[in-house]
Amino acid sequence: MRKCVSMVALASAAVGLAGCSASDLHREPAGAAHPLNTGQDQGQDVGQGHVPPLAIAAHVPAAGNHAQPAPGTHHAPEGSPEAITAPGTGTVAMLRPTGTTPFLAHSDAAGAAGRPVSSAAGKAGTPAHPTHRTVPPPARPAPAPPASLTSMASMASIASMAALGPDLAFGPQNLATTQVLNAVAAAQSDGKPVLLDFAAGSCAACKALENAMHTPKAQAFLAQHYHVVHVDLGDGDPSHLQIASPYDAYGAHGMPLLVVLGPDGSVRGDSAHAGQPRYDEAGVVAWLKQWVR
Amino acid sequence: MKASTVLTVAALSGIPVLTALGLALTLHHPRELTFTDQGVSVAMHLSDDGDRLLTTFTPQRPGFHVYSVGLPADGIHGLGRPTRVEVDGALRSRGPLTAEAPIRMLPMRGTDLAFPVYPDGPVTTDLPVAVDEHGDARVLVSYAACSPQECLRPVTSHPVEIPAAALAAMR
Repeated sequence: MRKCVSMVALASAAVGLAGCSASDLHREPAGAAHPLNTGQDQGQDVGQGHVPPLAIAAHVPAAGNHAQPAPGTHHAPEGSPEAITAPGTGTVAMLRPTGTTPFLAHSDAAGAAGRPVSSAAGKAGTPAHPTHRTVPPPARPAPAPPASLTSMASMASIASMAALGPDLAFGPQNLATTQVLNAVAAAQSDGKPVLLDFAAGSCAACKALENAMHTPKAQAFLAQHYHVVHVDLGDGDPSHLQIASPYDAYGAHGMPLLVVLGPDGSVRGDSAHAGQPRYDEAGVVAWLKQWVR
Repeated sequence: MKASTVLTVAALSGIPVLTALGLALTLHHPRELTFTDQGVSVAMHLSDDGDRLLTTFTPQRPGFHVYSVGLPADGIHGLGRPTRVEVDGALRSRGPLTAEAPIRMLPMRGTDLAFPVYPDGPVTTDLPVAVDEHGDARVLVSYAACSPQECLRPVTSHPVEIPAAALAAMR
């Protein structure tokens, strides 16, 4: 009898708890219930979709050492809307989704429109808690190339930038987009991968990584095996955020974010999926080694 | 009273009690203002006596925390950003921002620096306020969420506009 009563009590409690959960789940999203409730959520990441990463490929005509694209990737045909021409350089940079990198999607409805779509999701009454999915969603069309990339490409001087060393410093003159294009172009000529290092000045973890990357062995390894481009996400430069967005696994610009591009511009790996390196000399070198072929 | 009797009473009262609790939670939300930015859900409401603005910061990713309200505005050597809640207009601050959560010092690898942060997960700050009968209010919210390995972009002075009618409804 006691067992029976206990079971009834547990069942009753469960029903009560379910009632709590249900009411919680169905509560009105703030944006829908209260106009005051921040129509200013421009930074809101609720419901933000994650678009496939873009690969930036700089194709030098008649380049004999063109690397094979990663499996699952494709090259946009030249002359397609995806192609960006850099006048005077003989270089064409193409943006395309690699389709090879798994990611978490917060919302299909929101994600289908690409990023950023935050406020729309919130105003539509989407629950304020993103639903993480581990199953990659169907392929989505690549977002339009950033306008800044087009303009940057047009003024890029690939040849002059290719001579830059592995340690491009942060700074107001950091034309990150140009540097990315130039680094990929340089990678095409020498076969070294490109390391994109997204960080911010206020980010303690970024500082720890920076310290580790400036150790002698890490510096030597970078100089020998990588073209490095630092992109400062802390300065609020929209073009910098645009560069980072396709690679940002969680849709909120987690930093530091390391992305390794092959000479063909495809993504070999990134710290969002492979995990951060250990922030010391050996840890950084080990992390970098895994992407060098 | 026998244990079986207690259980029976609990069984009979469980549904209405817990349902009422759920209803109370539901009714509580309309007084709450929320937004989400840079991986942190922020919910704020006035205390029942209307004297305190309570703001809960909930990092959405496990293993993430926000910095202490006591961290300098520019962090330590430029690193880290304090959690801040500032009010303006019909809301006036009557004292410093506090948080009941314990502070832990998180060391930064490779340096002798350590940062005061709250435990991973949600933390609620408490700002003593005075509420004017009329007028709109504005709350500016700042924070940065980090894990030991990663940080999200800091949010600086995220504005929450509260019209007078909404402010009255919050009380």
